[in-house]
Amino acid sequence: MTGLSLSKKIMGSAILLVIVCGGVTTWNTSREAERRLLPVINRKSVAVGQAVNAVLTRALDYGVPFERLNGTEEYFDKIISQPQNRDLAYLAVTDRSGKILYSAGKGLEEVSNLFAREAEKCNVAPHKIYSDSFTDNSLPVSAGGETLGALHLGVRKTFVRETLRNVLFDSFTVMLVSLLITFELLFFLVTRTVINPITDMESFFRRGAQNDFSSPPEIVPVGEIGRFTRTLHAWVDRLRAACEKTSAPGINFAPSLEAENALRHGNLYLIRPPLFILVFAEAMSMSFMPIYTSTLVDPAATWISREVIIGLPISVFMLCWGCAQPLCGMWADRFGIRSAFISGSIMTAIGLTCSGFAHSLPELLAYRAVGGVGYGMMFITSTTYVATHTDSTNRTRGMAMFLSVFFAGSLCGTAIGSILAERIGYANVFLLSGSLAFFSTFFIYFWLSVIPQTKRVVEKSAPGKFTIQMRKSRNKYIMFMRNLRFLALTFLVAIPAKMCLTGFMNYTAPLFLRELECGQSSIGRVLMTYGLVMIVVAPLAGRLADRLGNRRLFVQIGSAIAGAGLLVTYFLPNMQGVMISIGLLGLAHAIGVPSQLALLPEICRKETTHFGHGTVMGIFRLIERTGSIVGPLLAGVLIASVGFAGTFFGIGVLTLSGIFIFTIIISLTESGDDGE
Amino acid sequence: MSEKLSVKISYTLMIIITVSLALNSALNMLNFEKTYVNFERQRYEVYGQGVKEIVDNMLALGLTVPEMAALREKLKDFIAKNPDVVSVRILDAKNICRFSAAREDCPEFSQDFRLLPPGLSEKALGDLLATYSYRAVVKNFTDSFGETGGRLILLYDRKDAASAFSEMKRFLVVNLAAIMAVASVLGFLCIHLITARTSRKIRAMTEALETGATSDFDPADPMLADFAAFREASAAALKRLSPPDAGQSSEQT
Repeated sequence: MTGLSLSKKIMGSAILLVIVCGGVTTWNTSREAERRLLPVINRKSVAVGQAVNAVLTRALDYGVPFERLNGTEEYFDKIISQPQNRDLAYLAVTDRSGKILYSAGKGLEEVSNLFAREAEKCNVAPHKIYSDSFTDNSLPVSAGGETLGALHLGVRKTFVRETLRNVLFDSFTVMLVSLLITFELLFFLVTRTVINPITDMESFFRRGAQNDFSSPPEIVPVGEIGRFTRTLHAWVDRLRAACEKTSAPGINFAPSLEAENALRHGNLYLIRPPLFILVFAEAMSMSFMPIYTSTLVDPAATWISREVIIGLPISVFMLCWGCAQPLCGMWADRFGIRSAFISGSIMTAIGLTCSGFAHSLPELLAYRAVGGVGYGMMFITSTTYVATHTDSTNRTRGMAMFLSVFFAGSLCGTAIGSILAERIGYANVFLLSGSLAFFSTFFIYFWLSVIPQTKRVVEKSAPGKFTIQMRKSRNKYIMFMRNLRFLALTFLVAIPAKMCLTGFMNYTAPLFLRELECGQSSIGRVLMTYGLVMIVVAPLAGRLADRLGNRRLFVQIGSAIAGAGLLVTYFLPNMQGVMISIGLLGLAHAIGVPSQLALLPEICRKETTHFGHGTVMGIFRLIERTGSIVGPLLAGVLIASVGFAGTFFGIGVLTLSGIFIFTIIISLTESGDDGE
Repeated sequence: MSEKLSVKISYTLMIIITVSLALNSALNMLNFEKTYVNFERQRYEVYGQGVKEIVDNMLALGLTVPEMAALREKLKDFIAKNPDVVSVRILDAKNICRFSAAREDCPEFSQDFRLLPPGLSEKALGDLLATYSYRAVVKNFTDSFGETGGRLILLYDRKDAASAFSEMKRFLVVNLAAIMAVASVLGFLCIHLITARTSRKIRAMTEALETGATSDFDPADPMLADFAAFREASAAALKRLSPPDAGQSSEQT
């Protein structure tokens, strides 16, 4: 307990420090940038003023009276409405006394009295007037050597701040990502050097008091704890040596099961950093993958619609990820988790790096396929690691940790990838993400040599056993296909949920936002809403679902929110709409997806008894993944045929219809035996 | 490298904060540069727009660019009125430079614009013509048939922007260094204060094992109480297992 409370304090102070430092940097930098940009904007507005003045002077030189410059206000309106003149709040011409003759724009009521007060200065030379909201740049208007009045251009003081708003958003995103990275790295360090040794020590002292001196805490290489563990080992060695000389009944040195379990559970955290880094690396390209693909597609050279083709890399990646999992699971069983993880991360790194250098769509598809296999390998290896390092007492917590790292990595990667893509280009982001994936390999190889090579002895097949297994496997699928409730959950709830994720969030949303001319950073920020909502809501929803126990209700609520969420973008087709939809999708999945898995044994009671929970889960997962593969393709077809609005509506209605039919089927089959 | 745990944690924390703040500052710098260059370009586009309107009007009257002899004087006036502009050139529809004017301190360019790739936007052409010292603004002229009747190429100095960027960079570095200095001290103090009690306890336990001294451990502290019980049990076992004289010496060492 000492270790835990200590780590909480360390993490708390570290997070506070990151927030304070990030906040101060952002505040200082934006203030300085504002100060330095204001003169540039003023110079630009003076240039506009000179151009406007030249037009006025020309008219006056032609002999038009100063009081009868018809069309001046329309001309001013036109200038103010130009996108490059967003900095201008108003344009006005005053006479020699400072009375406004012609004007356009907003805010003149605040400055009109200043014009009269400063008229003399304005009529002589270019002059600046400062009010609460504006910087007024005035230029004298003259004709035939006589000054007739002044032209005023108002620059909004808040304009620079508005321009820098994106910079601020980026800074906050970086701060949020820094927080998560700080948490991950410090958690690793603190767990390795403080929590685990102290927890082991406390457990060892308690056992030692009962004359059980087995499994003393591992020697930590650093600090006071390091010195203590070394001394403790020396002490135990002395005791053991004395014991070997004399028979000592009641004194135990043989490793106990409890101690071994504690060590195994304690090593669970080791998977966090490499998993985080790899998910981070893969997610870096998430926000721009469809946009990047569109740059490689030659619209004339294909017979399939362009929109469908743009979705192919995501579908291929998902397909390879899904297909790789069972095979890679076997690899992990045969050759050990460590080697499977290393192979997976190397393949992911190769896939990512090469994607940045792809010159054509087939090349990109091939690289995404390699990346997908690697990612699938890493994914299954990590889940296996969690499963082997937990037992029934802490498996749920282990899986929750796995998911939290997965979503934290995904969130950080999406955000940072999009910010960097805007500045250093897509290819460089791919290169960077590939390097990060390679780094995770080194992390596993050099740092985490303690990951055990959990090799399982693979049974050699007896002759004819394969045929029997095939028959069993076929029967297994037939049994599942007869369970209407299983089919309803899989095809009407789980597959649409995956389709929403890949079809809407990974594919349609980035393309739609690009169509709205949103910057890459903004696209990334919108997409990261999903991960953010997941991280915050998923644990709370999980706890609530555990307490209430009504899993089906959570599944229904989740799907309904997802469907309704997509319709938000249909009715609100702008960046805010997409953000709300993605946030609601995150909420829906946080509520519904864990409950789908919990509901599964309930609706597949017979199959679970027959084949075991793992097999039921595996088959469910395998079929569910088709949603991820089909999602982008379906969205592509919909975009090509009914446009973006139709796609949002289509996927939303599909999800809502799915949950509606699911509810009917489940209600009708409630009294039946497993839905058959 | 210090052996102390608090120092190691502080180092790690500082590295993470430095990387995060450096990334933050780099992004801020890139955004500042982009915004600055954008506003600067807009200003020179306004300058160029004036010349473009004159040429467009003449094209609408049916003149071609080579026939606009009056432009020579107008361009000289333009350069005199806008000292920030380095040079201005007027190209005809075949991208041959017909008129130009430049600031006195500006070196003469003998660039063959006929090689300019067709189909590029004005902004892309501007980026293409930019050099190490100058940036360019390009404006296309439109004739009475709505076709490109020529181009304006306006060059302006990068010096202003470069000095603004270097000042901003200096500010960011100083700001980063100052924040890091304060954060390092604060971070180290925080971590030291947090770990101090545990460090003290562990040092006391180490000492108790190394010297065999039986310190009074606070029974209210669970870890120390557990340690005391362990120490007592293990010492008793050691005494029981060792010969009487050896047992005594082991207690004392």
